[in-house]
Amino acid sequence: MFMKELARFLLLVFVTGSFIVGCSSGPKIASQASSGFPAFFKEIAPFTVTDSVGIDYSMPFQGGLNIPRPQFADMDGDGDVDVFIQEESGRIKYFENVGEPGKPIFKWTTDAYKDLTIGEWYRVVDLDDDGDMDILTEERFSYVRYYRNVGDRTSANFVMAVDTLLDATGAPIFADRQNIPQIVDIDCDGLLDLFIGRVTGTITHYESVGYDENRVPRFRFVTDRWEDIEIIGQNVSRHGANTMNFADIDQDNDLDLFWGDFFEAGVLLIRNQGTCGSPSLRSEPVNFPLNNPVRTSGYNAPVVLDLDEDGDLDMVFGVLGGAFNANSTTRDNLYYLEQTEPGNFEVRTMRFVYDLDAGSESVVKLSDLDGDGDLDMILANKIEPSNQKTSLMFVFENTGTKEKATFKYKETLDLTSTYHQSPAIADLDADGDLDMLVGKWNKEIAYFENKGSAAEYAFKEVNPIYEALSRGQNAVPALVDIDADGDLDLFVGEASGSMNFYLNTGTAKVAKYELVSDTYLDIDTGRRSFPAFADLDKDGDYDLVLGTELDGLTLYMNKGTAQVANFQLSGEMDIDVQAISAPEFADIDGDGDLDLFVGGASGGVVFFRNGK
Amino acid sequence: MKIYSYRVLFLIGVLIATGCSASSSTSNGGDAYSSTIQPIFDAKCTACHGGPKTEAGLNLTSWSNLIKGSNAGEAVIAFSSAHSLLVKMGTKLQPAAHPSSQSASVLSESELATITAWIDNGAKGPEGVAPFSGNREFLYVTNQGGASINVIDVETKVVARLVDLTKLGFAAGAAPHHVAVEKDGSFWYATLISAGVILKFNRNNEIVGRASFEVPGLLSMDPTSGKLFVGRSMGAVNPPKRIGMIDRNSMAIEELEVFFGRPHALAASMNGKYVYASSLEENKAIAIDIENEESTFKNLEGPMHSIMDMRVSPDGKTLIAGGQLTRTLFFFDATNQADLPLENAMPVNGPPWDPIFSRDGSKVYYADKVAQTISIVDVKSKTIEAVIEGYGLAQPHGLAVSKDGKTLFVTGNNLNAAYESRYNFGEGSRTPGTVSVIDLASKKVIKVIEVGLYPSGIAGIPNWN
Repeated sequence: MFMKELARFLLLVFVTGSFIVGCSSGPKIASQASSGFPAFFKEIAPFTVTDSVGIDYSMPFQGGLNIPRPQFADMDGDGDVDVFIQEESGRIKYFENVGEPGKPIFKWTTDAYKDLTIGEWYRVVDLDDDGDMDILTEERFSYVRYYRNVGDRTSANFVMAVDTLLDATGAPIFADRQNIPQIVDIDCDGLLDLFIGRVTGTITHYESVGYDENRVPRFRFVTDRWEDIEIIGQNVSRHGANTMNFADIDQDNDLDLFWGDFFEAGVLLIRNQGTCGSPSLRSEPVNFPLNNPVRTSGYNAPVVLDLDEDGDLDMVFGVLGGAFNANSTTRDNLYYLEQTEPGNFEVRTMRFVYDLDAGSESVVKLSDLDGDGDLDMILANKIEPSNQKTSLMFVFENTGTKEKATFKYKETLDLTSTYHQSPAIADLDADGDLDMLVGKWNKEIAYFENKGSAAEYAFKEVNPIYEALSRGQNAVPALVDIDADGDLDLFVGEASGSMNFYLNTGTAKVAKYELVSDTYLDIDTGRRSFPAFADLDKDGDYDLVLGTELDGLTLYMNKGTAQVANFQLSGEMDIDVQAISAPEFADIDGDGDLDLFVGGASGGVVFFRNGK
Repeated sequence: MKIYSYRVLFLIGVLIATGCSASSSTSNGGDAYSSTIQPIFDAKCTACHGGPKTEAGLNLTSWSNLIKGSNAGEAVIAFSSAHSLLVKMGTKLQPAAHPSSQSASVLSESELATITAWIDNGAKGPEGVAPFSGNREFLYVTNQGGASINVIDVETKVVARLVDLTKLGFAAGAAPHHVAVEKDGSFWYATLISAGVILKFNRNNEIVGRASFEVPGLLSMDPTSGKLFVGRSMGAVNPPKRIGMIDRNSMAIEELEVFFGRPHALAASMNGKYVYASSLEENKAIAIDIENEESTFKNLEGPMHSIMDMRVSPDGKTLIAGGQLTRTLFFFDATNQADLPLENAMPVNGPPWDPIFSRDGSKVYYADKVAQTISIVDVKSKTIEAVIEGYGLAQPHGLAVSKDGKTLFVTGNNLNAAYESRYNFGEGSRTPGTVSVIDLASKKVIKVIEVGLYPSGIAGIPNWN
């Protein structure tokens, strides 16, 4: 993740020094703890985390971004724009602008703005012309839902006006889910026009014909081939996904069209060569910006606005990942281009939100890797964006203390040169230092013995296939002494969502694993299982928490003893985590209770402190 | 508005309870055709469409001639009067109903009502049997721009049935995308992108099973495993990185990890042991052993290819794939099922869309949506043997070969209106899609069948040896 850091150094200095710094101490969200169970509180920036070139992540535990779809709007009536980012289907993140005019500072506020149910796309727009922002979004599948803001400019309050927007004939309006529509008044007639991109690169145009009796706008179908636009990638057939945005980029008082497409690595601009009252967008698309067109993996979602309030338009776009190697942009995927002089745009950052982000499907582990008494952090990814032949593990050394952690990037490990390296770290040979099992994308688990010392690790491969699942993929090992016999037993999660249990019938010095069950407890999470063990209720035995693909963190309380575990399903923990959640418990603040780190689909880490 | 799933269940229940079938083929009464329909034709139509004159190739002197349709395709679609040309000509034709000549009489409202009712009752002939009943060879065409599936009779090359998914409880935007058919034609399967479902139909076009799957795309199945595999369409920003494996009997679905994004193309091996898939967004394919789910990646070198489709040859020895961005047709050695050694990366004349094998496996046919042509590749020499052009090849998309190997059927999206509908039914810019019928001996388009909006997938009896 740090290969490009040097090249970005100056850029990041500028970024962190000016407009995208987030919050130094983030808001906290309480989990609703059940009786006798610890309460976890989310924190975005609980400790300083420094990247490979010495830059502090502004919001390290935001959680990462893979497919950010940004939009800007002044939601609190304070005269500056706040930002929404959609990373997942179902909800949108909200960052409040707490900066000054021209110097925005976006503070993470929530991952689920107003708890609105958001589909595959959303648009923030004043749909009822009452001066505040409403929201359109996808209603599953491919319908259009309308949230009306019944609050005001300073305090939004949304109610669902209709779950299916209708056209003037009363028929539902369909919008392909992967294509993000746009709503503007294209012809300056005071009425909104709705534009829906089609899979074939054409644009369907609806124009407003007023409102129904419930003041829900009605749109009249005009054409499926607006302006005869048919944008397809070069030499490519039609079968895409697209996004669009309108803005008067050339300041000639009409709206130009910006287009992102699955088969287009950049952002296309179609200039409006007509007038405000009579638009004409029939010119050839050109790559934007003209002075230095951007190129990403494609499927870019642009927003054009005057972010720095210097009187000209800038651009922010998310990279959703198209036909040009989407894995390469699982980390660098939210661009800010500043217009520094007329027509000249400079890329200010590719990570508008600067957080810990390993790429995708991250796994985080906390261990004292250097024997200094505090916990260091390893963050692993599924596929390394800069080298897609393997995943990587990033080591962050805790340069703080046991009570006050401060993490600093140390190095990158590639122990097995394969996808989905998932480490389990423990002293497997009772020699006083930490060894490592590494699960792989397939069913294999490799064993790396620490040939160094407790203070300076040196992992050497002992066996590339130390254990293997009986079937399945994505082995996720966890080591724990589940029977209190002084040696470490092995649990392994997998892609199918079941669990494997291997009992250590050897010793603390020489482990010998025997498969007890490859369907342990008949666990079936649906998809994916990431086991983590922790004595959450402090009764002297280990409880089990399973990360899952879509069902959050599932808790199994140990009703047995330290010697004889008896796991009972307690249900899903009331903790808001990403999809493909990978939990890790550790006492990071030395207060005697276990805090929670969670990796996930977006490639970052989300932190929850145990107790306030 | 999200009531379609309940409506489907309700309708299925009603159909089962009543025994009502959209394709029921037996008569409930007398010979309605001879007593009520043919007299109308004799009085109003056969002067031009019968006897010495059969304008537009339509002969209305008998039920059997009527069912053969005209040069423009079918005249009636049993059970679907609203989509039958005979009715539309009398009700929707712009600027006036057919015939527009002042010397000829148009069908009266009561005559149209009689014909409409007869069609909706199955357009049964004197024998009391609906046309195209029984075990015939059909092709199924998914109209992605709406919610319908055309069933084409291969022998007569007309639309035999229209499966209106809205009548089965699905939304008008259900977006049927692809289709697969059992070897004996007993069942067929279709993906509905926006409904997130794979449907199983019987020969009578009744829904008999279903499986849920987010944005289902292409289908593939093999002769031996009893499985049906399904990939992902473009219909989501970030669809799951998995393909589906469905038990064709129970329609129970299991999802298999592929690790890469947008697993669009997929193909089942002929021996039922492997399924192959590839990504639209990276140069990576995967071979999955379906017994133990062990996987092997296949990395493709070079610039981004964006593989859209894959197929296995009838003998199971070769896997082909079409690279859209690099205009490359890939040939892999499928006898090494896990590793899939690349045999040949053949540059071709355009983005090769939906490459399929001829029945004997000696040729590959593919569509070029940009040039609007069909190319024929000789597999042995890896050369392009012919490029077929023709009116009706309007953004050609899906291909299917008749069971006898003599005829190629090609869907045309026609979203660019390259093909102009024969008739103006007042549907504005939404032009019908096409199925072009190509005689493979002469390499000519011999007929263009008009179908629904944005036809994409097409399939008939699978090419299994």
